[in-house]
Amino acid sequence: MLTPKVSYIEVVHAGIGCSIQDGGRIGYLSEGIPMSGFMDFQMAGLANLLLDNNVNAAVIEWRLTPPKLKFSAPCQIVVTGIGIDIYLNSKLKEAFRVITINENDILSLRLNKIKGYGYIAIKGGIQTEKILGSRSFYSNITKHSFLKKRMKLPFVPFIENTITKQFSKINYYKKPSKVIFVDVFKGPEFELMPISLQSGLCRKLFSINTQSNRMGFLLNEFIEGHTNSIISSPVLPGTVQWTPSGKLIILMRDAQTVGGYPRILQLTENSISQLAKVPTNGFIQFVLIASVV
Amino acid sequence: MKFKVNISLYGEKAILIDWPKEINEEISAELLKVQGYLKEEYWDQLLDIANGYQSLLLCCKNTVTLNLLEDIKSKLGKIDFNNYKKTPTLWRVPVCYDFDFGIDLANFLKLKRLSLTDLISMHTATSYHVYGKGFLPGFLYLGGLDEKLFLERKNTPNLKIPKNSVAIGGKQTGIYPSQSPGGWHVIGSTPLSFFDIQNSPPSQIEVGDKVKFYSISTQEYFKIKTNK
Repeated sequence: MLTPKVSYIEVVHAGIGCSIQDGGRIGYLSEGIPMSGFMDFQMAGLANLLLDNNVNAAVIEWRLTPPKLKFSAPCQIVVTGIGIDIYLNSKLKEAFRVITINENDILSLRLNKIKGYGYIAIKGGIQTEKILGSRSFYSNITKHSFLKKRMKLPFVPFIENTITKQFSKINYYKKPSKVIFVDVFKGPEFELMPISLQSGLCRKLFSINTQSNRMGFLLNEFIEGHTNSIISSPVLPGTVQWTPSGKLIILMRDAQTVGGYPRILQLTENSISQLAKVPTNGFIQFVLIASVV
Repeated sequence: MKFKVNISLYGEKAILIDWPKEINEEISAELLKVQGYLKEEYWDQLLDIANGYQSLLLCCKNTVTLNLLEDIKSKLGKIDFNNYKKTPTLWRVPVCYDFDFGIDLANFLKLKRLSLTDLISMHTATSYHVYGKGFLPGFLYLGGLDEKLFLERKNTPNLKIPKNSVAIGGKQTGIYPSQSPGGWHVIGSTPLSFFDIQNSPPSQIEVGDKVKFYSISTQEYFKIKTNK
């Protein structure tokens, strides 16, 4: 038997803010270590499922500028995301469908509309170092915070009989809407807001600041300010913080584990993934839902 | 339980348990015992438990059911949590209060009108209580700082505070577990590292432990650092 060749993806262009993500680093909140993980669990999950991977297998995530990659060995990949053109050695390929890669193939992606987070999954998952149970990049935990040029990302050597033969395809077509509705529950400090604000919050449209990142989405519009501070308390991805100046921050996957701003809303799990799809020029509107319990 | 707690839903998959809104060691101690109990009793339903000064956040594997919420409520009323008491470890942490390490030391002394000797004796007199971790992975929230040392955080944060810096921010003091930007006033450095991501859990110091600083010279600092 031949020893399998070392298989890796070489980063030709790093893109901007691209990283390796998986299902997240679970169990270390009280150590001050965020959960991290896919910004959009649906998009990443689809990519993994099409390859018959574990739904939480490590993938490459991008937001505004995707990377350009070269493969050292044959493999299969799936690209998921909205508004992308995919080129394999300058030949156009489809998203949401298994792409077979040969040695030295070059993958480049072009965004035709600026949309949310997107993913490149590979058969067997990316095999970068696992730290505290996860491969998700995070500053001071993993060696790197972002993809870098010439970085080599190992993957499981291609074995003929594990090939995904069912070339299933998802027709992911959603007409991009200008306003995305975001389902929220009341947060622990909801009642700190004046009554008028409590009822008015869900009638307002908010846009997302371009400075937003994996830690949090800052909303551009001001609501009333306040002087309440709370004792530093736990927060989670999807927690909406009300800053004294009257700006709102929606905490995302890499958010710090504790915060001192009032927690006025909490997004549903599904809404966090929806939010990751909001285009840079899009708007969101909160929809308050009553908890069943 | 000694304190009255409030139990509520936090989103669809988490439960928040709130103690009275104050910072004290009694609340911290009770919270830790309850955390120990919940971890053991509900391990199969929980992903993680996060803690703040006076609250616990239970992250569940699945959507929280009314049953689970009621079950926790009734258990908290009944259980003798003293079985979950842990003896806190006292960590004696060497600090070199030197102007080379303490990049903000000179300014701090000037603003507080203190001599270096005063600062060292005040900062090393207390056994600080570890209330929690956050802000950075492994960053300890230490309570009990002498109020003569309170100083608001800087308006413009330093871009690079070196790993193992000892600093004061507002009413708190702490050790930077890794290099990071930060708005706290750096007054010294410890040659020891208490946070290593190769270990699980990565911090040796646990919530509920005590930290007491002692002053060392620059020579001792480098001796400890090289002997490690």
